[in-house]
Amino acid sequence: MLKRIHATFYLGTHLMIRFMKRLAGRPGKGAFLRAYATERLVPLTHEEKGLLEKISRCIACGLCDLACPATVNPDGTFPFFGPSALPFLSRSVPDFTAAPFSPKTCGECRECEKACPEEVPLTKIIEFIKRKFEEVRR
Amino acid sequence: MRPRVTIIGSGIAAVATACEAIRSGAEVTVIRGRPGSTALSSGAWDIAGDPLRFAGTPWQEVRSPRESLQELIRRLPHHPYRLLSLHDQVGDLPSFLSGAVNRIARALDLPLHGEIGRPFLALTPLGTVKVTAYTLPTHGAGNLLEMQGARLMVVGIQGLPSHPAALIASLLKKNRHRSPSLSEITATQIAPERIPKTLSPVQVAHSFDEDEAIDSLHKVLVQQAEKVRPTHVALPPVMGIRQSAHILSRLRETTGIHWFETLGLPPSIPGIRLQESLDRYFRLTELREGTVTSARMERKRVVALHIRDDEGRDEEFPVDRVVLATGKFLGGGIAPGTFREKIFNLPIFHNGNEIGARPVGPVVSRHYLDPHPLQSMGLRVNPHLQPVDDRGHLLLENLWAAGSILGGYDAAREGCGVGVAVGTGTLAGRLASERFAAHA
Repeated sequence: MLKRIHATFYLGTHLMIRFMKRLAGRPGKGAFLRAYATERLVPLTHEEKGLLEKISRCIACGLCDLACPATVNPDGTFPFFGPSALPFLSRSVPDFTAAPFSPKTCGECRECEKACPEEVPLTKIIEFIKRKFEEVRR
Repeated sequence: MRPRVTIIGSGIAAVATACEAIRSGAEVTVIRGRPGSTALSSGAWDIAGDPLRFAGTPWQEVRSPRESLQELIRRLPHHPYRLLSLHDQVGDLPSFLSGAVNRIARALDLPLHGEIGRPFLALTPLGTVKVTAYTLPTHGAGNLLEMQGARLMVVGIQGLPSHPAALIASLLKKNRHRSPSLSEITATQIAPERIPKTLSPVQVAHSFDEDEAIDSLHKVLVQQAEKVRPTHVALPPVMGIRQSAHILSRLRETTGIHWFETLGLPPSIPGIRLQESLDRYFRLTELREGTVTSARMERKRVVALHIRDDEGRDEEFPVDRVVLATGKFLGGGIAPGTFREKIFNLPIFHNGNEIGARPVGPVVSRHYLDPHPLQSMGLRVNPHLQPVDDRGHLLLENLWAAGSILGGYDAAREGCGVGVAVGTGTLAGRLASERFAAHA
């Protein structure tokens, strides 16, 4: 019985505290960044979340890799491992800086997007990665 | 005046229609959108799987595509093969299909291997055996039925996990009671120079189009063959994209043994090569690139198509006769979620019943190997391959349909994907090009 009273009291106070905090206003982006910057997390907008959903249309057919002119250098080296890896890479923002490529290699010719049977917005994904890459590094 | 036939599609059904329409003397325009399931092809051309085969059937007892075809028609009354076999333009269905396949192979300049009277047992990168009818040239020497007393070597490439040589060899050994013909199976791992560090087989295949990479690969493979002394070698399906014929013929000439690729899994290089040779063929016809978004119709006739190109520009394209070969979900013929045909808003059927805005029952089954309504839904057509409504009335007088947009068959279960595409494409191409077509 005593335990029960204690639990109800505890829940009640925290409910009050929660509502009081709400009245004082939301913590905001600054607080988010202070809390999560060390984990290399940055906030996403609603459009960016929608973009992440479209990534899941990828059926891994590899046609974008074939269309991409940046995958093979004339000297036989491979600067960029192809757009097909992007839908998988771009799911995890903290890993963008660890990715073994520089997104600068993509010249945004849109050839991969034209070849995609599922209309995955690959160019927008690359833009997204570049943007977050910069934000995470800061 | 020559009939003007417009074909919407970019896959095998579209190429079959184009071949036949050109042969019949029509003026042909192809409207090619984004690639569909042909670009994911494994390299095997199925005509009819053996419906009486079970998991343990010995390889020598697998029925030929010709026998399986008769069995399929007998068992499945709604199958497009049934419609074809009853049409007076077709005659003997197996001969009709094999004739059409050979003509398409010649038109594409693609020497296919296999014949309608004999099954082709091809090795997959999973170590299983796929029963089919024809295969693309790079798999040609890999019919397991023709390996009497063969010593088979399975090759893997270091850093390419999609072709596990040791696993393929051990699974083949396990199934040896079904394949008494193979006398020895070995696995070997090679590490040629100048290949990228990547998981993408597309990039590895891309690198084998370069002369120096080909030389290095050739040297390593010949060395291995001299050490192991096999009669047949199973290679991963990444032997170049444009140079595959050159790589394999050079290996054959140097060593005098049989070299072949296993079938592809997506991302499938054999499928990409097939799509490239189809695209080369389409460029010989009058070709328009873009997606058909909608159509203008007047009094049960298609008058014009609206085409949107890659830059987002719209254009109206007047048409005389149209063949719809847009595929099912991968090709984009059926809009997912709404269950209507995308361009002409035609109704979609399953087992003879129209699917409304929402299907009544589940569209997929709980178990993978059970039949899935999603796989066998599609347009309902009359014997002339023209779409009809739920009462069997003709919907559009100058429209024909071919390939996987048709309902009534399940390509994966029945092993008849390419066969239906080729058969219905050929018949649709012929009917649409008739000077006085049935209704047009």
